[in-house]
Amino acid sequence: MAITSPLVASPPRSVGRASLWFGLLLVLLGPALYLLQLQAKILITPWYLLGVLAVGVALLFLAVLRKPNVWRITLFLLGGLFAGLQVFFLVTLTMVPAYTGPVVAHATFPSFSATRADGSVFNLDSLRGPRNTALVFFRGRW
Amino acid sequence: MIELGQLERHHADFEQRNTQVVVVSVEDLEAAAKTQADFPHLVVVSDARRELTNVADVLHPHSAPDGGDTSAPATVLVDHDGVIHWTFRPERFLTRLSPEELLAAIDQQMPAQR
Repeated sequence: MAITSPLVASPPRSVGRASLWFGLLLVLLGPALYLLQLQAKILITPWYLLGVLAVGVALLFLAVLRKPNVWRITLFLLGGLFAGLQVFFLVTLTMVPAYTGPVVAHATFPSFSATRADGSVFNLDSLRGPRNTALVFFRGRW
Repeated sequence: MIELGQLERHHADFEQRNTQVVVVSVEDLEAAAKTQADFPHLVVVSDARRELTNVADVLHPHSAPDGGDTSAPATVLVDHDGVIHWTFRPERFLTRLSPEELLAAIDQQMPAQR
């Protein structure tokens, strides 16, 4: 008479796999989403990325909880690090210095001298004349 | 540069509001000439000596990809007497004013100046 041990149900290989890959996708998607936003010519700070990254990291964590192993823990740590870098860039590195200058409403624009693209002078007198001016400072051709 | 293309496409709306759009960067004259060729309806200004950028206090040090300085994005509405009517300066350099927002600001802040 054969003696058999009772079957112990081991978790299937796919437990939490969807969470793992979807979480990884969301964490890696951040830069691509921002590029898509730029392609659509929408020039806003992409705060929605914070939500995308939070969900991504949460899914990676869920995948680890459901079936902890070295690969999942490594992917969670790497994904969390990448998400953290994106948050750091968004929250800290995109800040511009606080404004302390004299250009405020109702003041006369301060005196200055710069150069038009054709080489002629552009100064305070260039702001005075028949037309109003929208002075737009931009970062550069790059 | 995206914002310059958007402003260029709305040049007729700015003309209608008797407003010239002057775009300023700290790049040299050669770069300004290229930008002017790309956006012929804007007035492109090179502020390589940073006089204008400094008086407006919009220099953003070490923020260019090569580690050089740039201007923080900012917009100032000035009337034909040189008086400032409105300023826009986002806290983050990823944010820009859209042409529609700028046109609305002109309509709101300088209606009598048109």
